[in-house]
Amino acid sequence: MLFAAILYRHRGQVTRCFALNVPGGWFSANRRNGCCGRTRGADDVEYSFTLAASGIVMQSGNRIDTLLSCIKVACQSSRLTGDSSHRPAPVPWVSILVIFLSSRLTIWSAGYLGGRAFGTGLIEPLYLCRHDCLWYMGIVANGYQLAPEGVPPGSANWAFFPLYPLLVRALTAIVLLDPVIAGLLVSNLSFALALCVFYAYYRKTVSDDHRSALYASTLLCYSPGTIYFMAPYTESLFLLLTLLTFHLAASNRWMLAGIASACLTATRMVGVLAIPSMLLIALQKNRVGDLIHSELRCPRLLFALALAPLGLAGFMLFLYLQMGDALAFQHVQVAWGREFGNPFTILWQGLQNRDHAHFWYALVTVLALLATISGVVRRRYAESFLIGAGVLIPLSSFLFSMPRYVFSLFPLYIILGVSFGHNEAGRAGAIGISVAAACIYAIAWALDQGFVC
Amino acid sequence: MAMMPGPLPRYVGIAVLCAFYGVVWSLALNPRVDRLYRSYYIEKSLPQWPADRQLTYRPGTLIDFSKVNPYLSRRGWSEPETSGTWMIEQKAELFVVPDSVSEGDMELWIQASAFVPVLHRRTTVEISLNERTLGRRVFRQHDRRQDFRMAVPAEALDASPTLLGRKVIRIGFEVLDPGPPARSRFSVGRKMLGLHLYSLCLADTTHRCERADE
Repeated sequence: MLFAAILYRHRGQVTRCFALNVPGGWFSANRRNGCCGRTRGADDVEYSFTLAASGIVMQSGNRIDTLLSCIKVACQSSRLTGDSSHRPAPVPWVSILVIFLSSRLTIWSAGYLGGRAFGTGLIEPLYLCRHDCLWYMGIVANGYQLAPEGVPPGSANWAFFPLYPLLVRALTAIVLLDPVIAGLLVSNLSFALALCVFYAYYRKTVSDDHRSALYASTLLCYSPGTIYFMAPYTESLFLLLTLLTFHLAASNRWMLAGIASACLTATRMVGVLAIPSMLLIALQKNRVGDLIHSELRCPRLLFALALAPLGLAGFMLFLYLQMGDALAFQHVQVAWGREFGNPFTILWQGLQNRDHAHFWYALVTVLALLATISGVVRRRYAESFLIGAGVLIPLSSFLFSMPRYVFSLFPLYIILGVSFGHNEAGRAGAIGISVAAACIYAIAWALDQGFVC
Repeated sequence: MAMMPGPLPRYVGIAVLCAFYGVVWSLALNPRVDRLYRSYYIEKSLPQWPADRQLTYRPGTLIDFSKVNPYLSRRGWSEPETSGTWMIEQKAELFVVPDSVSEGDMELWIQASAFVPVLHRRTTVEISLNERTLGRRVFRQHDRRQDFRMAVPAEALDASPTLLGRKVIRIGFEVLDPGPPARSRFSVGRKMLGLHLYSLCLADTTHRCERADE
């Protein structure tokens, strides 16, 4: 086994320095270059490498010392200290907290005041619990139903995945909170954490520029669909777990990525998209041959992939034991008129629909599909896959609620951040439009308009 | 450097997880549900969940198939035409929730014709109630509309699944010798045409069928 210290360069700057166990086969290809050299990784990032102890094949006894000296040599050569180069970019907690709190206050106030101004009745301060929130609160209070008792006839709460109500129920039991307050806490805390992970992920994988990452985080905060992140819905938990899965996978922490994705599949059906996404991340970071070789030695990725469906399988087993049908969460969709069809036909019908709500759903869907294409062009395959499949799967049954599904896909904000990140006017324009749309959505939510549910 | 566990525990973990998923998937393929649940959620034949009296039917009332009515299964029927509704698949069903069911036998009154392909010379339709065959009806070429009755034994009615204490009766039609119009060059599509149902009525043996507006 050989060791090598790898320097990660971005725009000529050494930004990170870390050590790797290098499979002999991979390194031998570069060994001709001598003890130092450069290579281009599968992810198209330029690595410079320093072979520990000048290419001596080391025995297991002296691994640690040699590895440390290797890091030291490599980092000194790039005028970085070994300690600082290992750290990921620090998250600016205060800035994130300020953006989070100001955005929540702005959107909540817009909904509350707008609802009072345009509505006929008084708006309750807790107006955020509407539509699906009532289903979740029903699960928190009474668990899953044994027979369909909902409206429309035939509907039941089997359609709603268990992790979010479980967390709310746990919080209710521990802190003795009202379920709606506990739901709001879980949603907003998840969103705050998601913002931090989003910032770190952006700096890790997109650009190390602090301002650009903060701008993308602000876009996420003021997303037109931000009301879904505030309300007791699963959207913010889904966002957090998707980001955690991607961030941990990008950091090669596969076990934790697998656990996060298992939680994701217990949150929403489309959580299963984490499985191909992780595979795409791994394939983008490694050559296929290297990946197979390392997985045969230690199946870290395979284990993470196997772990991912655990949340979904657990829910299916529960449904089978509860009411005899493991696929009840899917079968019950028929009660809402959701049946599989061609997503592009449904989209085309939506674009031709004269009803404003349907046209809006279709427009948001088209924008998401364009973002998918943009992501592919930028070679962000895993994220493009998440948007594309995350849109097409719900679209194959219904156009309704598409904005909710689209706005909870984090790669959208990365692509927007990258697109407008270098242009001041573009930045201001995108934020302005986004804030206005978020306020209109909040008012529509407060007024209980069906098109926002 | 921390000691990393060998690959074996992970391989064992992967095997255990895959076995668990296999068990869950086999359970998913074999649901333990009643007939009604299967019809509505899995087979998607029951048009609506029979709550809130949506499928309620008063025995002795004629169901007119030239009008939109809620009893037709999701699949197997054409849109209503001026004279009635066509079967467009080999099988089609009706679901009715009678507001009262007599203790004894009943009768099924049917007015229907059928599409008979030139090469077939006849079309045979099997009619069942709660998956018990009531009988077969043969339609020949140039036959006009047929009015016929079929006896419904009390045992078949008793086999109805119940929802909230109310029986859901399932009436099935199956074309035994289907001949798509394309085969006789009536059409280029793959559409099937079978029974053309004008009206139907389930009634006590002692009562006549009446139109709903009579």
